[in-house]
Amino acid sequence: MKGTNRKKMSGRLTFFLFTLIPVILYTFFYVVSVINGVRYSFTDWDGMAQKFNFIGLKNYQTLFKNPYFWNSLKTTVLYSIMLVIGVIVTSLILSISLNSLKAFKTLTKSIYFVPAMIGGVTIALIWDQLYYRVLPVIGKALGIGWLSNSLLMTGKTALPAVVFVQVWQAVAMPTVIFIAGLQQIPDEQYESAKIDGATAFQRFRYVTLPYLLPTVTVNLVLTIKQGFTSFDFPYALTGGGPVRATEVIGILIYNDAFKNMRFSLANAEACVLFVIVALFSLTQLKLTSKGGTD
Amino acid sequence: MKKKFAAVFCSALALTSTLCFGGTALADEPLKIEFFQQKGEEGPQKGYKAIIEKFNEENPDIEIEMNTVPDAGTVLTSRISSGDIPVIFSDFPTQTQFKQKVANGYVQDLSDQDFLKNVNESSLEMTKQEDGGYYALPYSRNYIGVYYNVQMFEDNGIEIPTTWEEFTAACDKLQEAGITPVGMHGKDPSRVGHLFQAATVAWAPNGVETIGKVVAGEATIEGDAEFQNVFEKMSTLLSYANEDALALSDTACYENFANGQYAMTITGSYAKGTIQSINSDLKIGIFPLPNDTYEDTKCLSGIDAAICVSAQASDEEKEAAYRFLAYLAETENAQTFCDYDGAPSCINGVVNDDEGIAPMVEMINAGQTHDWMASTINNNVTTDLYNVVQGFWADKDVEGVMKNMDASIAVTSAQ
Repeated sequence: MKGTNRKKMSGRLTFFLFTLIPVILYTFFYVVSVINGVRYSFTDWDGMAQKFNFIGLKNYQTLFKNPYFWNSLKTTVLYSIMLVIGVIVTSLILSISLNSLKAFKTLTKSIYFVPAMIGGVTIALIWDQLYYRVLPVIGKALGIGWLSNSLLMTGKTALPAVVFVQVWQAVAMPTVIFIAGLQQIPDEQYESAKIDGATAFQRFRYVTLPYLLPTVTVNLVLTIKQGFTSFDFPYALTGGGPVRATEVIGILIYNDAFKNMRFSLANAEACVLFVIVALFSLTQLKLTSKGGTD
Repeated sequence: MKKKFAAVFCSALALTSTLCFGGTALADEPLKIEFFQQKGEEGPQKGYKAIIEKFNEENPDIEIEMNTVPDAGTVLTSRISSGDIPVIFSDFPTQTQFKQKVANGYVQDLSDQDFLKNVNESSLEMTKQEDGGYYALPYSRNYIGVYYNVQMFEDNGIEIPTTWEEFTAACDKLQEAGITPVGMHGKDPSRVGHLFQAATVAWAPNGVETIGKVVAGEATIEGDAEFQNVFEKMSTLLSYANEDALALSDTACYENFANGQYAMTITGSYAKGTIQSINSDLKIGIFPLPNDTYEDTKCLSGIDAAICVSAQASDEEKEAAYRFLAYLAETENAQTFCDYDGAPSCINGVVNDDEGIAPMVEMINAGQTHDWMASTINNNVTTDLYNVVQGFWADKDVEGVMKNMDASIAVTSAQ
């Protein structure tokens, strides 16, 4: 009895030793830097100086007084809302139609998954060219005023145009998750609903949707998080312009840190973002664990 | 079995790590010195490469290794802040960020070095730091100017304009001929900013100083006659430009210009190589953005990436670095660089034989220049002004933009 216990212990120790290097690396590169990041947000460090002073909450006070911070927060929220609506609606429609395919199901599914495998900046640069070279030609040919020039040019259209590009990519993942959810719905439910004379919409409303609800929540939270932390699409497409119209909080942080040399202020901004994203992550964890026990 | 495997694995790991760290210090190897170089363009890179190759050959005990990365300014900042300063690096000695680096003791004082005597005086003076010392070897000048398509100018019988009146007349003539006179790119606020800086220097002789006063709370832009002039002229300029200026990135604009869609484009010395690489047959010339009279025209010109030495390098490394800097400052080598780079050199005796940029060189040599705003005004303030001017490109509201500039400076200078 004792012998097996010891064996178990030494086995565990070996396993632990194997994880030691990743644990150390993770601690060093992640935990330590996060703690340092939070620490710097209470200082006046400019990113270069060897000495810096602790100034308490002053960075946060400056931040909350700064109209550009509120503007970027507003832009980020708007961005996330548009992203969520775009992604959830599109991926829901896409997954239902893909799921009802009779032939070439796997092939079609993989084609729709391709955008998820291309890097964000690459997609942004391709769409940048489309917005500049292709869409205005179409707009002029059809006589549509708002499409006759690049959509990224005016403050009103730039934000939706950037969101559209991210939706184009972000739809792939939720679609796959939705398809997995759809496949769990037993066929008998649809059959009996049909026998009872339910229309296609009623079948969706009363059979598909209730079964799909947990999946919707997961996708919802994932997409909101994606929206709040978005940086690559707006940065590569517009750089935050025109006139701060697409300056999401990620771009504000980057500019303050590396362009304006105010690292401590940028750290404070990042901490605020961290709190917001953490709240959403906790919600997601709660929701998914609940879904698991039900 | 498992234990054995783990033991072998661990000892293998330990062995490789000692091999990695222990194997570097071999005798008789040349001293490797990193040269962190900020210019991403092809011309200067080739120039430096040619000089480094020659230097390494003549100095077998030193090996200079050039390192150029994308987004070099950001990388250099983060390397410096983490204590990993390259022994030799290029930087912009007239900018406030550089002054921070000097104040923090990251950059070596070069005031006593003989090679600085080869630098022409006006360029050297620009790099003087607050303590009166010189911390960089200025190598070439940058500038913002009007690039023009020589063939188009000849076809339409247009001479290089030296005054604003001649400039608008040239634009009218081109427009009548069905050519878009000026290609402008405003998608990236920082590119709008470069034009804004050039315009301020050209059309508002005290403009940069006025902004400085506004930052200090001693003046306002609103009601300033010089800035009124700047934005009225800019509005005229925009009326001669392509409609989609705000949608255009710099490279797209250069492509269009190189392919003959515009007769002119306004950009910096940094664009020359790119434009020529798009269409190597294109004959281009560059002239300063003209003001009402030639005599009171100033062009925006600063010190391009100058060469600095880390103050935290070892004495041996510093000695090697000085030798390389002295080598760079020799007229013959600076000439090699200038031939590749194409920008006016800061080293005495170097001749720029590019006819196309002669009007630019003439003005710079005559001292009719003004440095970039970043030399006196905080980046934080200037980059937000870029956004404000980008807004002006969209609505062309002269009164509005001046009010917005005041508002912007009030926000950014308060932080």
